[in-house]
Amino acid sequence: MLEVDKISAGYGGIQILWDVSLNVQQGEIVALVGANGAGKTTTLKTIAGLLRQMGGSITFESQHIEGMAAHRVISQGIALVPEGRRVFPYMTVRENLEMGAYTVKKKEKVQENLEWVFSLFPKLKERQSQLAGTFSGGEQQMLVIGRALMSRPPFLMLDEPSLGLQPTIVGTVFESLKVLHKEGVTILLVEQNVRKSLEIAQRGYVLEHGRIVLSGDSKKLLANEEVKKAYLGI
Amino acid sequence: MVFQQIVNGIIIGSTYSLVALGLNIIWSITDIPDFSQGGIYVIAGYASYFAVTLARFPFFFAVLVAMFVGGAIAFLIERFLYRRWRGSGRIQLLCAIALFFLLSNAAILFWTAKAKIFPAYLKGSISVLGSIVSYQRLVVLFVAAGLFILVYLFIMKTKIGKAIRAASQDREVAEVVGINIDTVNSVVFFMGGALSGTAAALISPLYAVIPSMGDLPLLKSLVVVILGGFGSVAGVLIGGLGLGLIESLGAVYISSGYQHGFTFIVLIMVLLFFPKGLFGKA
Repeated sequence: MLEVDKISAGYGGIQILWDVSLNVQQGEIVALVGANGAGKTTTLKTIAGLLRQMGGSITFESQHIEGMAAHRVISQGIALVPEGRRVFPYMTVRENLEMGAYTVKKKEKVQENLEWVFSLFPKLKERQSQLAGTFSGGEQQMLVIGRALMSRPPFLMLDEPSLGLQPTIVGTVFESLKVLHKEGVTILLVEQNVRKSLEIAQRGYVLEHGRIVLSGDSKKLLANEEVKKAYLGI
Repeated sequence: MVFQQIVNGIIIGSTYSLVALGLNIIWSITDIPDFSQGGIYVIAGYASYFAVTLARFPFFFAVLVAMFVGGAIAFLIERFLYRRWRGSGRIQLLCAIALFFLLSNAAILFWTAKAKIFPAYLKGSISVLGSIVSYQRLVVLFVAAGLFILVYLFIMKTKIGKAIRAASQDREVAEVVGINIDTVNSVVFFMGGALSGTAAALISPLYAVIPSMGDLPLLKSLVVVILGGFGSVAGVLIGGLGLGLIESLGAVYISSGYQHGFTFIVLIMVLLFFPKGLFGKA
């Protein structure tokens, strides 16, 4: 589905990613893990078109999408949940969700997707006229995931969805990702929570200093001595 | 007497609010304090004057001309200047200030510094609670009020309006959900220029069309934005009307010599006690 081939990227002339290659097949959950500053967010931003890559290619469903403007990437079927629960704080929950369906032309389709998101996150339905900025952290995380789903994307990328949430809510977030996976959404998950993300993923990639250093079956990665030492604290 | 001043204050304040509304939307979305609006105001003022005197258009049509001229100039400035320098706020600011002087001085070059007197388009007045209010002043008030409602509905209810709000709250996420920021910028600048142009056309028949006519409205609407707070439509309305009232009441009860100084006294007071503005969000 997604094929990232040797991309390099960075900010203002400072290179952060070095020949990063990864792929995601239809129906998978793939985890991209690594320490703070390893280049995980940069990878997602480059795929999403928020950053221009310096080299390499990105194809989605055999279409070249590298260099495509961010606002057009979503029309290809790729949605991004950015890091940090970035809701539109002065818009209502419902308006936030409507913005997620900005590229959906037909009104009936928007309504249908809204019902789908409400069925996944019933709390959003109850609170749809509340301002998003007044939500708690966990609720905002649900909202930004719901917003990304409003275009009914076949492929969803999430950037640190569990960061800064209290432990009970972290569990809920990972549960909802499993549900999405069952609904047929292919997922690329970026996480610092290495254990939890490898537990729900089929495959994983380990990013260190902007390079992929390990990849493979997530159970094998969990059992890998280096991974244990560096990320699981065992 | 008091009532007369209140009415005058509200009317002049409503034109500040109009310019400030455009400025505020532009400022909160693009981070550009668009000083060029002061120059656009001047050009649009002349456009309305020539529409009435040369083309012999009826006044309301001249307002539409000024609206369009203002919108078009702002659109072009964004499209061909600010957009090139996106991410370099200082250069954009310099461009904005330069354009303000350039447009105002272009008016001197083309049409001399001599004031042009706008022919009255509507004669007569009504008496409200013992004060006399000319119809021309009432028109200013009603058109400004109508535009405020229209802009509010546009921003709150339409799809592109919601996209504008989304972009002002988080530009990057707006892009991620598929909003084209270039389109948002074009719409916002056209709207801002159109509001300045309309304000100029409305106020021209009450005073005169002159190359310096944009100076005070520009400065005052910048103050209104700061008073009302970024991103707040209600703040702009209340800030603009409040400023108009303070000016006209202050001119009578304190001294007319300080009329324009009150603006900045109020600004300093508000910044001291409410650094975010009265209704500010950021």
